[in-house]
Amino acid sequence: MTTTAVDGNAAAGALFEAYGREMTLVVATCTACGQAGPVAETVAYLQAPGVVLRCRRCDAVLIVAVAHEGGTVAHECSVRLPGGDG
Amino acid sequence: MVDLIDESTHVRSVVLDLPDWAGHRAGQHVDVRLTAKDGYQAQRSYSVASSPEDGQVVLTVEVLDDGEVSPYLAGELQVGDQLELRGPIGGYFVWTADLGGPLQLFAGGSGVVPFRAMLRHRAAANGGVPVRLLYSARRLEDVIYRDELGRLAANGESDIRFTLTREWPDPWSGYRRRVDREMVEQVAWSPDDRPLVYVCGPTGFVETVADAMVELGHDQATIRTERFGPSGG
Repeated sequence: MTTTAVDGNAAAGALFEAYGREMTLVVATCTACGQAGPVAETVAYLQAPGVVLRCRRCDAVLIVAVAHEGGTVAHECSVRLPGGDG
Repeated sequence: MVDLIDESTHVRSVVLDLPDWAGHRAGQHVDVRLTAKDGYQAQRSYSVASSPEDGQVVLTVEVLDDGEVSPYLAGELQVGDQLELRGPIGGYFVWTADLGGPLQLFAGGSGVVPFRAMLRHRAAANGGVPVRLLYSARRLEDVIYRDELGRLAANGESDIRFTLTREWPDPWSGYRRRVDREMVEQVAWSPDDRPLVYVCGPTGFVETVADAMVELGHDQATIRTERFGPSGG
């Protein structure tokens, strides 16, 4: 199966599991290039082992959400999220 | 699952009876999770095809030959079977009647699914908001909700145009090519009308349309996109 990029809104489910709330309208700021916009507008790869969100401008990895037995854990990479999540 | 409807050659709608459904907004998704006997899980996100007012929740599934989830959902699942769902989810690619309009919708292939929810929601809200839809499909047989969209177009409720990219019936009054900037300019509201723009389809389709709309002077912030890649699984 080829790996194809979709929009961050397609990752809404995995992000909800990780954060316990709807995340797609949250503004994510890329700490690599400064691009800021809703999580829904990032580039999402859903077919990796886990969900990978990348910056639409510079391709930096913003968030990796991985499902474990106990639930989904989000690893924040080059990203700043409001409200102390980053 | 209470019913299965053939929408086109590779597309079926799965009708669900969800007693605990909290309601959704047009454009939202659900995640469907399948678990095999050995514990292997596969999950896919599907747009809800029904409007909040419809009562039942409908998912429209394009069957992909190499898919893990779609062949099961649209093939093996039997009426009466249970499904594991999570949702509704997503707050971005959503339209509710109170957002107003006019509405400018661009659908590539099964990207029309969330728009059926929006069009039905609009009708349930007594219409009002003017809407234009451009729907790109390979051939007429691949057009999902053909009868329903045809009725909406015929009674003047909605301005619905089609482009077919591979085969055309004879006669055919719609477009006969992939979407391009000239087509977008012809079908779209002017930036002065301040439409709310939703674009859903394969990545190439979405980028062509969104780039054209920005070039034509539409504010990027009014354009919402949903790319599903060449295949959704």
